[in-house]
Amino acid sequence: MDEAKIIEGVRGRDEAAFSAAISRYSRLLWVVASRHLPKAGGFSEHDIEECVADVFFDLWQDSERYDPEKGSLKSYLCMLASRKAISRYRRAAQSRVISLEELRQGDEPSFEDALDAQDYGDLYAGIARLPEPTREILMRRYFYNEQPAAIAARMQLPKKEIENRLYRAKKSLSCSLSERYKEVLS
Amino acid sequence: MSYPIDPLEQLSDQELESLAAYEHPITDRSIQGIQGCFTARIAEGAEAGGTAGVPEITEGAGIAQATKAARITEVVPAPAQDAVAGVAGTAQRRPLKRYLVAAALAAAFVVLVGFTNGSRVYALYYQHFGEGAHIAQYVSEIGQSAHDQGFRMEVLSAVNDGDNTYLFVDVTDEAGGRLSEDAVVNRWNMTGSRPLGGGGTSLVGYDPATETATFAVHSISAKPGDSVLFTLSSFMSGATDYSVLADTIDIAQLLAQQEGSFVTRNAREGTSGGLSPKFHDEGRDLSEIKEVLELDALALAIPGFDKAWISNIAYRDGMLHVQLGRDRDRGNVAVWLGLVQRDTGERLDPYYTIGVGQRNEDGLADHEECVFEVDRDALTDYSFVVEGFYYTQVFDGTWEVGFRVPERMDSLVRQVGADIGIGGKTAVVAEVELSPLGLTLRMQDTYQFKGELNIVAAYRDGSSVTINEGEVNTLFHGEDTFTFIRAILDFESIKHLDINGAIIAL
Repeated sequence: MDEAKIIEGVRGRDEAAFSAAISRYSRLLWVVASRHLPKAGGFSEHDIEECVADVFFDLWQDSERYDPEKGSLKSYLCMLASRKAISRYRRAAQSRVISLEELRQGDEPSFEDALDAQDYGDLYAGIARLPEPTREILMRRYFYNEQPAAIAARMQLPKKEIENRLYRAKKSLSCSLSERYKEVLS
Repeated sequence: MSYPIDPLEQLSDQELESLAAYEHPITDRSIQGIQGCFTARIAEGAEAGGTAGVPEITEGAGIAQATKAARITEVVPAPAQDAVAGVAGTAQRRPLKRYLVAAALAAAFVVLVGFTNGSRVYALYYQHFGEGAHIAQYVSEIGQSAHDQGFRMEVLSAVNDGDNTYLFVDVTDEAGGRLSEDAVVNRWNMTGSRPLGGGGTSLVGYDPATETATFAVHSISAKPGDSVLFTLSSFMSGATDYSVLADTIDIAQLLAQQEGSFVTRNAREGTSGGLSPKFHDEGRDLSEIKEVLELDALALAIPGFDKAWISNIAYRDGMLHVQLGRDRDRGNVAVWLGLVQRDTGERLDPYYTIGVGQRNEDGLADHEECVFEVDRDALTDYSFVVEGFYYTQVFDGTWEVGFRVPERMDSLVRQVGADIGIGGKTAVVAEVELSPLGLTLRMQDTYQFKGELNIVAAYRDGSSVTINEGEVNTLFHGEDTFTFIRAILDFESIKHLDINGAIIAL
């Protein structure tokens, strides 16, 4: 079922359309939500599952709020997922003590904000070609917005090594990617 | 203003899965879980009236909450006191046996229509256990069905946490017109490496479009990996409540005409019945009742009520003994006899009741002697009242499905030997078991407890979760097992249980 048919079905609360939407967009929304709800913050797969389900539930409750004139359904759902995840993160933060680093992580503009969306796939591909553990370090730093100290703790590596690997990887990517990336990575 | 384009939109599913693996891995189960959670959200919304007018969702209607809860049977640990072993509770067992049930069992009664079977199963787990993702990984979808008399039974799924196996079962009236939203399982069994050690069933959904009733079944029997046979042999539908005040029967005059005699009770018939709190508080037990009224000394109809009759009556030692006769094959009728003070309307319940006479295959006796503690001189002020409900439709047959019990989910078992207080009495918790599905207490000397039972699980990080809150009333004695169905996340991180103020460290 293509997006146009899904949109049509969603407006009619057709369960097949919702099933199709869930199959089609859940992976994307899962990652969108995961960026804001890290394990280090005490969030589990269950939280992600509920967050993504809530996105579809919002769509079920009020599909008229989606305006095709403003963009694709995919973008609309990503926006909802991001908002819901941030809201969930903040709610959790209110009920426990969080570190300054976590707080910064939650509010820090994400890496992709500084990047044109159409280039994102290329950047991902560039990072994906890097060997481990460098690949994980970059994924965590740029896709999950984790600070070097947090990455070091999670991966049980010295912070200095994380910073070195980030530096070398940026260099390597700068050679293979366009000027735009160099600005972002610098 | 346009929606912002999220750069992640450019990634393929495979790339997204690779990326997710660094933080929260995503699997096909995750997608099913999202679908189930979404479906459950809709159900919750419909139940709360939040999405009124949604055509695919129909809220269960027409059953008062109290009645609904009362028809739930749970945790029947084959007590020695009760002749009914290995069979789910029947309507007649309700009067003084309100089984320990978790609130979750009674909480949700919502129909989910139009979604795929898989998502329905997940939604049911969400509804029933309150959580999904961590349970979903242990759920085994069965999808086996059996037919008899135009009814199709399908065992949808199973999950096991050691002693307990939980099933969701659909019963569909393919012929149509016979199954209503108040359906209840009357008899069932599950056999594996050991006989059914108890359990219960509850109606969790009804789809009027397909006439499908969905039951949750909790079985204390099969072990993980067992090949088991689930057999549904009777279910009922069309519940009708009644309450009849038999004020044309003059109790005192009846006694003057018919003073029944007593005979020695045949203990081999087994002992079943109910106790009042006073009876128990006096340290008494039904097994000490040696004499009962002679059977069928009379057959006095109760005006306005044809489900039972008065088959004997006598007054002895300050007690009014009234024997009710009833058709022992009518497992579909629940009858409670009481006395009502005519001027004040005050209700007097039996001091105890005891089943006598022949028993049907469910262990249901065809007579019940109800004994009231009341002055003989005051009987002129009282009338009989009979109350209960009966099912207009009873379907006996054989619906059998064999399947393999899924692997058990992890659990935490601790021998504790802790004393807990309930309603001024003390019980011993010999062992606790925590699993993602709930808490099981193995208790000693439970006998009868009526009172508040509040159980809170405290996590090491300072958070807590309430497992049970409110009154329980149980009559079983000996070594009993009570299961509280409530999804528990990260049970291994629980530091202690607080049971009515008693701290049980784990």
